[in-house]
Amino acid sequence: MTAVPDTGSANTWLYAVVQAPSGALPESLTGVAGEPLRLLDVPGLAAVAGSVPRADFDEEALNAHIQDPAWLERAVRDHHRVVCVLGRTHRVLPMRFATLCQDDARAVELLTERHDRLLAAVDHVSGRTELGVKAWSAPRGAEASGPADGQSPGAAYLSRLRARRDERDRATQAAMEQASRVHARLAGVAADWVQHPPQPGEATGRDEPMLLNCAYLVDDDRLPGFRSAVDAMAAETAELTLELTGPWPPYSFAGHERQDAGEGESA
Amino acid sequence: MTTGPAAPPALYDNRNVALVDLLDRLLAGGVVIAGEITLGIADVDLVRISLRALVATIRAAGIEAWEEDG
Repeated sequence: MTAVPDTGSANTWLYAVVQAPSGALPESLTGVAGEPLRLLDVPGLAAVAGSVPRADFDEEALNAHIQDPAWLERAVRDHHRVVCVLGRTHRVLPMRFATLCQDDARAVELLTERHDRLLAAVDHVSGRTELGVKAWSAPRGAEASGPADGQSPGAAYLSRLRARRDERDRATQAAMEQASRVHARLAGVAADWVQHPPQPGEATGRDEPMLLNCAYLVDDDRLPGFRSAVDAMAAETAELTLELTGPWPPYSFAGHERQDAGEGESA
Repeated sequence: MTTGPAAPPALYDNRNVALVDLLDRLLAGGVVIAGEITLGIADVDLVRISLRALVATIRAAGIEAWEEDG
């Protein structure tokens, strides 16, 4: 296809797999090291790859880099940018961040070994879109209960604390039930779903606990229905704050084996 | 905004995306092949590393404006 670059001092970073025929890549598209991108032939598919300097992207350097928050954010956003741009023109199956091989030949070999599963995954996400839905307990207003008659100040204080804690537990319990209902309804509309771990408060900037962090793979013709289901439930469920994200490239479903695919194999 | 010649499968947002949502997907999702070079860290460490990145980002966002047109 294109001239094979000198990979003696470079590793191959894989961005995504796209369905063949793949067409040309946007010329201005560059990767995590500012490198130009190219297509590698894999039977029935093409992989989008770039050559990144080995000095900066061997195992040791990479593992040092990812400890640096600024480096990690920039690289993650670069990888995502490439996948997004590819998604404008191709059915795209994103690779896990930092998928690196010694050279193109090795990358092609590894992808070819998984050829059947890759094709199945492309098939699984075709005509479908990933959306994210997160839910938190709704922020609680300050609820005041006056001291009961005849209580000592100390006892009143304690019972106030207890009442507040009970109220909080009840609210959290109610919110969790609401979150399960939200998920059940959305899972009913979606073709597939995956649960991500709840995001910690330090990352979301919210005091309330996250109760739902799911990715849903939705048939494109059901997207409006999915979105209105989210809107409707946001309006209905007083105990929850809902947030819809996406559309996302199908990150959460790219390596996903169908749960109904019979016996699982241990990876 | 811009419409290309071919109808895109989806218009993905590559700008106004929260890092935390991105990390959920890029560090735990995507096609996995075991190459020679791997992030030598377990899932647990990944969570910690991403959390550190997020906290740093949130701090930075408190100082600079979060959204920029550039």
